[in-house]
Amino acid sequence: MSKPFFNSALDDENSAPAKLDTINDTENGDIASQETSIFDLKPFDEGEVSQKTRKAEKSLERTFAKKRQLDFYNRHTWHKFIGSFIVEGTATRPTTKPLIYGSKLSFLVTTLESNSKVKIKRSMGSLIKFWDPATRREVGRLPEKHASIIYPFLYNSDTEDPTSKKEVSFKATIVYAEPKRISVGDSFLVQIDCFLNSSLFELSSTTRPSIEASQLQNTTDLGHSLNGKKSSNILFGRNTDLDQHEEKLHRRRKALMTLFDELNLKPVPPNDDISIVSDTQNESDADQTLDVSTASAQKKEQENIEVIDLDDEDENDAIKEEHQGSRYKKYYDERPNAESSPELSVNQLQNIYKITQSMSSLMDLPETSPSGGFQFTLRKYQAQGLSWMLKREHAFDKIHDTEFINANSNKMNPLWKKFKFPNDSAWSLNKTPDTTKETAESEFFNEPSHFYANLYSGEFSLKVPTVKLMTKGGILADEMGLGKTISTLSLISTVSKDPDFQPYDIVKISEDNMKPYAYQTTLVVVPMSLLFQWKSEFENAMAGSSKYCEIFYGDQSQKKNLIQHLCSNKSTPTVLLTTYGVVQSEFSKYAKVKQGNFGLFSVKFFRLVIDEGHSIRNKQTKTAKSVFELKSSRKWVLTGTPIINKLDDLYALVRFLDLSPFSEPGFWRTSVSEPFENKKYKAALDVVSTILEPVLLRRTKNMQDADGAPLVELPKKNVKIQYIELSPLERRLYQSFLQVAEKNVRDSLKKGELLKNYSSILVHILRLRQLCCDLHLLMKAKKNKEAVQQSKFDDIIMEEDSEENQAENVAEAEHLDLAQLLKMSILRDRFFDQKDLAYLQNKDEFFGNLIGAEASSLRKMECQICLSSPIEPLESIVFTECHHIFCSDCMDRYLSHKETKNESAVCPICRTPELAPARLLSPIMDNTNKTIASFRIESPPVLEDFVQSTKMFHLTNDLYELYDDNPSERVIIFSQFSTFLDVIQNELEKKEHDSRFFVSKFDGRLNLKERQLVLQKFDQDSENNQLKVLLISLKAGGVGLNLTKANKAFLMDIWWNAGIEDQAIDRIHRIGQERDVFVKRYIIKNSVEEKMLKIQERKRMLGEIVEGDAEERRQRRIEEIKSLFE
Amino acid sequence: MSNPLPKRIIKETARLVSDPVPGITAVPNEENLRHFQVEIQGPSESPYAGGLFKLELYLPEDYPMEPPKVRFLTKIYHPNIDRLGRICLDVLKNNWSPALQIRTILLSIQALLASPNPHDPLANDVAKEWLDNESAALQKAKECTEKYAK
Repeated sequence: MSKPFFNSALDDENSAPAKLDTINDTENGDIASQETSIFDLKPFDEGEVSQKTRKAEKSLERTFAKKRQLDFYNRHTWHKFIGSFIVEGTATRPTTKPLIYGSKLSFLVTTLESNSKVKIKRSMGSLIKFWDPATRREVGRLPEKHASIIYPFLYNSDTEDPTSKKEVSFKATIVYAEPKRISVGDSFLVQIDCFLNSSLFELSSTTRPSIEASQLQNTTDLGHSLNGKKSSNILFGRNTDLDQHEEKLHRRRKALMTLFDELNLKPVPPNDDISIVSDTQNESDADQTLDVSTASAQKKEQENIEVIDLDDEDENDAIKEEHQGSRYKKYYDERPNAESSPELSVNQLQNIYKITQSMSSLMDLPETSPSGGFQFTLRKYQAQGLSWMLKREHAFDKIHDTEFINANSNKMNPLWKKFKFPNDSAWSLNKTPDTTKETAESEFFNEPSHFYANLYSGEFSLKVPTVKLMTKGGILADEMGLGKTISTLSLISTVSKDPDFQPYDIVKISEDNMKPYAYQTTLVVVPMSLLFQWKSEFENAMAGSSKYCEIFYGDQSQKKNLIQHLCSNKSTPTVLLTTYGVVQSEFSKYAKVKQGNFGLFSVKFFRLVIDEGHSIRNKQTKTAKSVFELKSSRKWVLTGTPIINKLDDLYALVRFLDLSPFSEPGFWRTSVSEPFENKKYKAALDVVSTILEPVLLRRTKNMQDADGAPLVELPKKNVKIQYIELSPLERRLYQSFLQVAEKNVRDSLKKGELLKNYSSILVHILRLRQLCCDLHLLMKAKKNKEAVQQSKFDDIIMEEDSEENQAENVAEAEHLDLAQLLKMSILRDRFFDQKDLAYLQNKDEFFGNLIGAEASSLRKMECQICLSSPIEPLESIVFTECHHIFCSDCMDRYLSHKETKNESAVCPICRTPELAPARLLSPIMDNTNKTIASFRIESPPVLEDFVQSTKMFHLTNDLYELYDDNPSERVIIFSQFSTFLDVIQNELEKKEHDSRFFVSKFDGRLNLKERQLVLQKFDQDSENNQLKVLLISLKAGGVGLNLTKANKAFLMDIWWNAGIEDQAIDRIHRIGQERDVFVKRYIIKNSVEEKMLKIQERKRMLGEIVEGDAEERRQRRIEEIKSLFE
Repeated sequence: MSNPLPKRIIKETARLVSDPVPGITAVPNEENLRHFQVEIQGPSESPYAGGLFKLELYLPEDYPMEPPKVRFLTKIYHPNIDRLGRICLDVLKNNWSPALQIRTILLSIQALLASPNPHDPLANDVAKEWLDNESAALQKAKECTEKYAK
């Protein structure tokens, strides 16, 4: 057999197979010997058959077998030098003779007790020592650091199997020793040469990091390496004692990193002319490589290399010192999981999007016409999108652009780095660096000159580790309104069933051997409000074809027969529509039973599409977990905003799409979350963009195609802000609430308790905003309780403003009868004129004396009902005719209480009868606020005067105008307050408007059927010249609805986040809109609304910084609140 | 979910503790601060002298607009207090005013003990007895005091 010549070093090992390096440290230092060399055995004598010989036979056989194994391995294994380092050894035993320069040393390894329950922390230095094979004595110790490098590779759990080759081998040679006898503690220098074994490159990722224990049981992931081979279980041991094993892996990984550090092995930039490339076209179906245009790939690789250096700069000096020379350590820091990862700034978000939107590649996409009965003509970019999606699904036969199909370039997994094998300068092999001869010979023998290593996981490979994505599918992330629904439907129509599947081919079912395959059905999961929209779009798009779409929403009979229904050969629905809520509830039942027919989980679908995919961004929600459990051959995510707040939002999508290895939480954490948390933004974003780029397609409205024309031609959007003034009554009310709110804020600020009172301040602001809309919002306190209870149906909740949601709940649920509050706060407006004043002064000494009196005397007084003193503000002091003092609140409350009981009011203190507001006096202070100037009388609350709020008034006017222009117009009205929508509805349906308006309302309180009805009615043309008004609550309707039949919208109030409002406007300003769009926003002048508007604009300009966690968001909101009250 | 306690109740309670009415103790219940355990000493010039009478007092939701609810826990022989402990007192009903407080109420109750009013009775038979044979009634009251309130 011909061994490559550089293997000669192995001879040493072969003769004494794996013995010296792995022996048990027994007391007497004996070598636990296995077989002695085979050459010692006598040849087999056929004649003698005795016990002894039989035994000998057997042992001979065994050795032969072992040798065969070894030989086999030797033929196919090799060592490759990667570097050497010099260590200082410390002698542990005295010697009689000095150590010889150039003598070889071996290593003495102590096994770690695996049975001990007590974990004794032993230093590496005590476990591995230098051993002189010549004298068979221990020589000395290694430094701890180097011991920790060497130890994991010399110690294997399974020492009996010689095929468990070491992955890294070391050869030690003494290069300096003092020319005298060695005593204990003397030092000597040893050069240790390091070799990588071929087994390192073959054995696969049994060294994968942090595989979740639950996944260990049935998954094939465990054995997966990037080469696709399954792992041997050798290193894994018979019983998966995870802790021990994990520890071993950990040590091994750390050792690798330190080793590379020591050897100063630096990665080299990978180049495009990679000769060692796996033949992608011929690989199995399961594999798939990245498709990226070469230009950007190169650029990306440059950036990859830069990653290391940039991050160095980022670190501050202290850390830099610590990590001097150990570049790899920082990748390996094990940190506890952060509860919530930091969020992205908009700029970072945009960067990610930009990366994935490399314009050139998008513009070069070929167009494909849909087939399969699709009725619509796609727009150019949609046709391009279809090509892209088909390619992602491997439906190459449908794409007619062969260049496109073949345009593959291999992109390296960013976690891997390429290294060059250094010139062989191993001391132990007596080699000197002789480059030309070396390289020539090595190339002759087809040895690799480079290798690839992933230091995150400790894996090595000779081939370029391209990121192989196992999933067919991806993320369609076109901006809102660009027609993702249509694009997806065209895909479903073109490839409606699995082309590789033979109906009776039961064998070819997925890894989930239990589930029947619904090979002709695509499951589409959408938010509830879009259910019927999808259905009608499907029916429009597929009109005339035999394909049909079915809604799966909880019909019991459907659930039972799903397998029959979908997996038989009869006509099955091409699309099964359902909602997130249904998926989640099905899953919770399925999880309990864990088998059998459970609706959506009883089959594997051909294709799975999730609309508004950002709904599963929180991987811990039940909804997300249940969606992850759905099985299909192909998976698609549709979302306008794949990242809402945090980078980890993406993880859910990656997990959904099974983008191994990134879909494993540990992997994601190490490669994305942790770098990001540690402010290594570039590293994290690079990984993210590498993951995303092949699977994400995003176009925006303002992009341009190859000809420079805008991608989407949308009609103009005109947004007008109308500033209006509150009526005097409203203004007075507003002011009094404002005073209370301001006081609250000021007090909290002073005490530094703004955070503590955050929620109550929110309530104040809420009331002010409600006041700007309509007073009725404050009054219907008790009824609103039901309305505000989150609608039971799944709509997307704007988590960012969940605290505001809570504020609403608090405000609504408060027991306080706000009608009373109203009465209390409506200010008095009757003043004494001079004549009355004179009269009063003369008639009643008491009051006469008070005029001109000092404020201080008033301050001493205490209200006998609430016991508060002083009564502030002084103007709210109320005097009865019998000269008793109360505060106006208490008095009002008392009066209305008596009124409800139908009793006459008397003075609470002296019971003087006929207490009435008209007989109550309040002081008016002079401008210095120090003396009483006059008095005024309370007038009864004038709630009856209140007919209509200003906004309502203006709205009605505007609607009349529209009606006059075009009586059968359609109009949308948005508000965040469902109650306000109620008010508007009541108002518009009043008799005085002569049924000009046909009002329908769409909000969270409606159930599925009701919503569908509303939308249908809105779509229908009006029969009797009525202006069609659709009232939508911002939260329920802002999502995905297509209302392009209308081109006029009103935003009745203002929200903190401009994005939500934009989304609302996008209901009409989207594809399908044929006319110019007009939007009007009402803002009350000199109010909190105006200030919020300014905040919105400021945010828009600066870019919304959503950095930090919820705490920091709160802080920012508090700043905003402060500015509201300035 | 209950509302936060009005300031008035807090103030009153504080004052009751810091400046108690002689002969009267009122302690709020830890779990419900609207609920008070009251003890009133029998007034000295009355058959109830020497007795310690337990009452419970509850402040309803719209206190002080509505009067507190008071009831005797200790059995007492009194024309204006029935066997269940309910009290017939004008200020606890129609003559209530929000300017009145717990202390004033309790004082009124103590005063009622000192001067029963059999013409406006709650417990009819007791009132009858009081009118028919006052000394016997007083004696009975004294005996009940001995029996229950000591």
